[in-house]
Amino acid sequence: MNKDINILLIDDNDTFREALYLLLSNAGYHADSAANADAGLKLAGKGNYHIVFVDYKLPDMNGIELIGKLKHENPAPDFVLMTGYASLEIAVEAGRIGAYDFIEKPFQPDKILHLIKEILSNNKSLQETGRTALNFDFDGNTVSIIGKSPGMQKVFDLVEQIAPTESTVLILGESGTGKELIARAIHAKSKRAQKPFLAIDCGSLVESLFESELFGHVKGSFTGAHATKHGALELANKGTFFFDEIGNISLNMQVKILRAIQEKEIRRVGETSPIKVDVRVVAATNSDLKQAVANGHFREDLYYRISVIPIKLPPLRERREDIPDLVDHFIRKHNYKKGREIHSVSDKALKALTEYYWPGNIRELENVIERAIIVEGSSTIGLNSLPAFIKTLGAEGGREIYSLADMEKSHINKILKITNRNISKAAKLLEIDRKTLYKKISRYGL
Amino acid sequence: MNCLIIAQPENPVTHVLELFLKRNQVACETVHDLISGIQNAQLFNYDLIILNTRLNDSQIDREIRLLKGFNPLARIIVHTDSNSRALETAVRKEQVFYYHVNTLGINVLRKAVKSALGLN
Repeated sequence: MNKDINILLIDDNDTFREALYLLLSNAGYHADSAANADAGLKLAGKGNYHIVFVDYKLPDMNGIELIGKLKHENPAPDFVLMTGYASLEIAVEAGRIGAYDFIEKPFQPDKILHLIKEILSNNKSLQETGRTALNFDFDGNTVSIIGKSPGMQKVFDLVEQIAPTESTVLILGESGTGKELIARAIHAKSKRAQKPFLAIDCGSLVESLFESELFGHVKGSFTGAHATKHGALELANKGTFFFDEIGNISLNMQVKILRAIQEKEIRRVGETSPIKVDVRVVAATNSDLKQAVANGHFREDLYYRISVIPIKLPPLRERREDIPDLVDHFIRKHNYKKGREIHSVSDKALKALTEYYWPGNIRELENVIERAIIVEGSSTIGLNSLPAFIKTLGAEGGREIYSLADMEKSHINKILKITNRNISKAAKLLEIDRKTLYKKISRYGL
Repeated sequence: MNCLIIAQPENPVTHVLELFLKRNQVACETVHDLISGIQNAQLFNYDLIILNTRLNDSQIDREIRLLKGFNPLARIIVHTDSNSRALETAVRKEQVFYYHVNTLGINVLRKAVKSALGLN
C-alpha cells in the first residue's frame, strides 16, 4: 500500500534530506527529493504527490512562498513545512497558506511516520481507493472517466471539490488526455448543470469568423431575430463556456475575451449595444501558457483571470495502471458500435499496450482498440491485431530498440534495487557522485 | 479533399458553394434529403459536410450527431436562412465547426469553408 504513496522532499540540507529520504523509503513510501525550490517545482510539475515536505529556509525561495506556488500549480497534495528556526510567526504563516502541519528540526522519525499516517487517513482520495472512474450525467447519458491511478484520483477529487463553485478553471494536458471530458464533468457537477454547456475550438477559425462565432453577428441592413446570429457566449448564458486550446487565440481576441469575462457583457459584431452574459469559464490548453505570457504571446491579465484553479491531466504514459481498464472500456464501446464480440486482450497484446509511449494519449489508445476490433478474427485481441510499432513491444524479450535514456533509467533502477536505495552505495557502484545520482533519480522519477 | 452538401433543392447557396469548391479543386457531392446525406456519410469519408437547416429544423441535433458518428473527422458547417435562439443552441450543442446565418452573406460562408478545408 505504502509504495503507492508518493512523497516529495524539498530541503537544501543534504544530510537532513537524505535521512528523511531513507526513513520514508524504508517505510515503503515512494519518495523523491529536491535540493532547492526550483528543482522542487519541476518535480512537482511532473509527478503526482500525495504529501510534500518543504523546508522553510531554501536558497532560492522561502518555504511559505514555495508552498503558495506549489498549491497554485496543484492544490491536491498536503504540505508540511519544516524549519530549524521555529517561531510563532512561521507557524501562523504555515496555517495561513494552508499547510497541513508544521514540524521542527531535528525531527523524531516516529513522529514523521505518525504524521504521514494521519495525513493519509484524512486524505479523501486515498480513502476512496475503490473508485475507478468519475461518473456524471450529461445530456441524459452517463459518462465515465476511467482512472484509478493516483494522478487521476486527484483530478477527480479536485473536480468534485471545485465543480459546485463558480471559479474559472484552466485544464492543462497534452492532446488526447480528455480535457474536454473534464470540462463537461465540471459543468455536470455544478449548479449550472441544467443550463447549456457550449464549447469553441480556439485554434480552428480565422479571427473574423472566431469573433462572429463567439460574440454573434448582425448585418446592418438585416435586423430581427431571424437574421441575427446570437453567438456561442450569449447562448451559453447561465451555463458553462469551454474555450478549448485557449493558447491559440490572437492577442486582439484575447483583449475582447478578457473584457467579456471581466465585464460579463458582450457586443455582437456589427452592433454597439452590449448584452449581459453570465457564464462560468472553463478553458483548456496543451501549451505552456506561462511561457506564452513570458514571450508576449498571451496576456498576463487573461492568464491570471482564467487560471484561478488549474487542473493538470497526466499523460497516459504516466498512468499506465489505467491502461487495462481503458482497454476494457473501449472494447465494450466499439464491440457495440461495430457489432463485434471481442471478450479480451491476450497477455502479450496487453503488455505491448501497457509499454507503449502513447504520444497521442487516450485518443490514440481508443483508435488502436477500434482498429484492433475490426481486424481481429477471434474473440481475443492478439498482438497481430495491433499496429507494427506497438506489436514489437509485446514480442518475446520485449522491445528491441531502447533509447539511451531508457537504458540509463533501467540501469539506475536496477542498482537502486540492489543497494536497497542506499544512495551512497548506489552512487559508488555507478561511479558517479551522489548529487548527480539524485538529479538522475529526480529526472527519471525513480 | 471532398465535401458533402446536404441542402433542399434550388437552395441558392448550394450552387455558389459548388462552384467555389470546384474552383478550389475540392470534390463535391450534393444531396437533397437527409437520408441520402446519412447514407453517403456511411459510405464515404468527407473532410467537410455542409448542412442546410431547412431540411429538418426540429431534429437538427440528431442529424448532426448521426453525421458525426459516421464521419467523426469531418468538419461540419451548418447554415440557415432563418435563425432562432433554439435552433442555434441546438446546433451549437453538437459542436459544429461553424454556424452561419445566410443574411450575413455568402462571403462569410466561403471564408468558413476555406477555413474548414485549410485553403489559403
